[in-house]
Amino acid sequence: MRRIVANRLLGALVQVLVVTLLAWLLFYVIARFTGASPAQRIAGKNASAAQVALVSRLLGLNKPYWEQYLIFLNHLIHGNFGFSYVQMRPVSAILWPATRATASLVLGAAVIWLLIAAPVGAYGGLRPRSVGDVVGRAVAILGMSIPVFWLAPMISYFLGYQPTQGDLLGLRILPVGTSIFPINGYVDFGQNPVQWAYHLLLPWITLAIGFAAIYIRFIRTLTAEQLSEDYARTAKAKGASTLRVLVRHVGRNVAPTVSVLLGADIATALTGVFFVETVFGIPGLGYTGLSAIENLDYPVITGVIIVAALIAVLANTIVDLLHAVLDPRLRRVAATH
Amino acid sequence: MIGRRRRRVLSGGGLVIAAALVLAACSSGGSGSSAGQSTSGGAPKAGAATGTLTGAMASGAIDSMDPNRWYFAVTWGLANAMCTTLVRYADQPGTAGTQVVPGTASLPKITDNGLVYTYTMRPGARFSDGQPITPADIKYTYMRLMAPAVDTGTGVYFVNVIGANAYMNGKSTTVPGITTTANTISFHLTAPDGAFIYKTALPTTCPVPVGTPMKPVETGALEEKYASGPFKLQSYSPGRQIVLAFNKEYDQSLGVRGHVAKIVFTIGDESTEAVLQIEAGQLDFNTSNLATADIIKVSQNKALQSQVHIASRPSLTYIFLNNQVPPLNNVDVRKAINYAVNRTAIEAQWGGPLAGTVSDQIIPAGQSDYKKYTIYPNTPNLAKAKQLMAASGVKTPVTLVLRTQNDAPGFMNMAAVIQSNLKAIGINVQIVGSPNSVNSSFIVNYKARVPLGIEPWSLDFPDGEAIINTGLDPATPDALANMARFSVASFISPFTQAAEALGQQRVTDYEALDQQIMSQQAPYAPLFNPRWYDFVSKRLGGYVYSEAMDAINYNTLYIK
Repeated sequence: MRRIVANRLLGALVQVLVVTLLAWLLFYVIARFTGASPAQRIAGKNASAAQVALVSRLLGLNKPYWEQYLIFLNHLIHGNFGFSYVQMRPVSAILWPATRATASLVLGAAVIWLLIAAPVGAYGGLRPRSVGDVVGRAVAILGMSIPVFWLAPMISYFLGYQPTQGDLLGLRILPVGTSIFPINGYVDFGQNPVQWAYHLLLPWITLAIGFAAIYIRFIRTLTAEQLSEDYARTAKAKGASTLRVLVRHVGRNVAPTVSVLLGADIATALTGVFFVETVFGIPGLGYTGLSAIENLDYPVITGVIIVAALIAVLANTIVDLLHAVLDPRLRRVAATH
Repeated sequence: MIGRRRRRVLSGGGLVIAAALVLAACSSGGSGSSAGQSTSGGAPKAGAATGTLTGAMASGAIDSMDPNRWYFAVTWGLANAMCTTLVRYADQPGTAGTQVVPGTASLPKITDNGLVYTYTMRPGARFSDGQPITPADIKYTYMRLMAPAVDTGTGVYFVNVIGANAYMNGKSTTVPGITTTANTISFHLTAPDGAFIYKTALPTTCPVPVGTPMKPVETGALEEKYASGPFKLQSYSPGRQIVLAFNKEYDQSLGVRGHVAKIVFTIGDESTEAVLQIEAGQLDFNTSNLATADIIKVSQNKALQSQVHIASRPSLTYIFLNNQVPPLNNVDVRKAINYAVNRTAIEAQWGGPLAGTVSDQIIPAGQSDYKKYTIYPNTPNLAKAKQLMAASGVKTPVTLVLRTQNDAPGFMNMAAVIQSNLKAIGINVQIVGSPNSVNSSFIVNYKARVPLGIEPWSLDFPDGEAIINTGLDPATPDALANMARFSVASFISPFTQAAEALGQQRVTDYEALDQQIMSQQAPYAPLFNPRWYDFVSKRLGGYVYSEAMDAINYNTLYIK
């Protein structure tokens, strides 16, 4: 196990180095060949010559490239993502709350999509072609077909706004002024955990629907496959209940594969939740990145890219390690090599 | 000035959202119900500040929280609440709100043939920490806003002050043209400046005390401690929230203003989402103009109409024609373009008659120095346009690049109409769309030699100088704002004369200058003057749109 952990962490370190190198190359080297001065870009359009010179000196932009990269890396290691001359504050002070907001959104949504997908998918695998399975699959296909940029405003409209007008899903059954969910807005967890969850419930559902659909199909297929394996038939023949077979035997074999997918999807979702954040007014990473692009705030753009990449690397590393914990075969393979 | 005042309308992502929500709204039959949050009715009592209003603003609406640096319309709205400048604009709707009234000082005494402006400080002018605002503070404020390390562009408006030019260029550490006594401050000018009084009402002249760092302070700390308006900053969380609280140190003898205890702004609300929140009673107002789809929605719903406010914006959307790029250096070609463009069809891409009024003039309708004339048609006169192209001697077809922003609705569609219009006279337009920030960096740079571009322009102060001299000064064709690179020498004198004129003469000069520029040189193809739409909650009273600030006047708001 220790070897697996060491290998995976080494791999993650290499990935991080590659990602940071690419980000650095993009903004500090390649941009220079287009005629743009990195110091001018970072200092902003309105910066004076003295400010540009100061930025250049602080970042060591007059030094050899390799040294510049090491300075850049050293700053990152110390949590210094640079300074936003557009917002006039450290980039880390911008990224940290944004990362918290996005993480709140994605991790909460992941819990919801697993809570939906696990029972529905397992039931489909257990009772293929039953009415429940057909309905589950139909709903899954529908969920996969709905783009999130359409779903988000619809959910906000029908569940956030319409009740305030006395309607629920188009039916006039509520008193005017009923407020079931906020139309948008975000409250930090540290400020008020209840309001945090209340404001995130609709965004969680919005983000979870598409992923839940994918996971329903995935878990259904895996469950059906595992149920046809000898060990499952043996367990059933020995009199184990269906629930026990599913949870104790099939579940153990399905979980590692699902966890790998989950890691990749969480990383994808973390960096692709822009529409949900925009519609529900969540000041997350996607939202911050877009705003930075609109304002040509290069240090923040660079920071968002690096943080997003780091999250992807971290998520995949955790999942790989989790996979090793859940799947003893991996540990055995590692031990024999 | 460096940039153009702008207000975000709706981001690209918002387009999709708006479209989806309008579809949904249509299907619901436009059920409009009251927010049901009204408290007691009637106007507020003088000096009584109770209740909390909630507002929303788009991400990126805050350009700066330094009181000598802010420039966007939304921050000017905040400035109007937190600052009292030497003179300020009346808290009135429409053109009445462009009248200058006393602020921390009385209206200036103008002497020496318009070369000296003397302001006498009024008793009661003080910062929110209780300290009085002195003439020395005002002088320091002007020094700070002109300081190269702080200035974002409005310092250039004071270039006429003796010594200001050298100071702004870093060649001097003093501005001898600003003198003070115990209770007066005087500005000594190198040449008369008929708009000088407006310039001393600019939000970037927001007072700060002597000793404030001569570098940007973006934390909001200055507005917390040194607010001089009816409100002060209670908290600022960048990208998240701004809270204004009633400033108890504000002396109501300076003007009865500020009728709510608190205004909480959420940063990052999409305009369309904000409309739903207002309708649902979860929000009181939004700082962004309504999206066209929402204008149609709220305008067609009778139950909502009492919550909708419409105003003329001090703004022009136009095509600049780069006078230095062939064949646009030929005046006949520029005039031909003015005859060929279909202003009505172009404006329809912006939202049609609901969203703006077609114009072929430079000064926006509603300004005091606006006088209606008609030179170019709203719909194409192709015969005339082709005749002018033939007279120009330019060999067609010719290809020209038109740059515009693609991150706000309407611009790319307007460009497509222009492309179609100009093809009819042998000009092939190649459209280049990019985000506003990128687009701006190209079009303001004279070296980029951008031939054509669609630009919205909002006036910094209610005077023709703020668009004519600022945007077309023939003496400075390389200036950032002179995107047409207008440089006709014979116009230098009329520009100077109009800028120096006072009173009715000034109005007459600008009325005439607008017409002369367009009839003789046509450096622009003016398109339309956009309208401003606000949709507010039922409980919000005292709504006033400040034409001078291009924003809601928070000082008049109260809870019904």
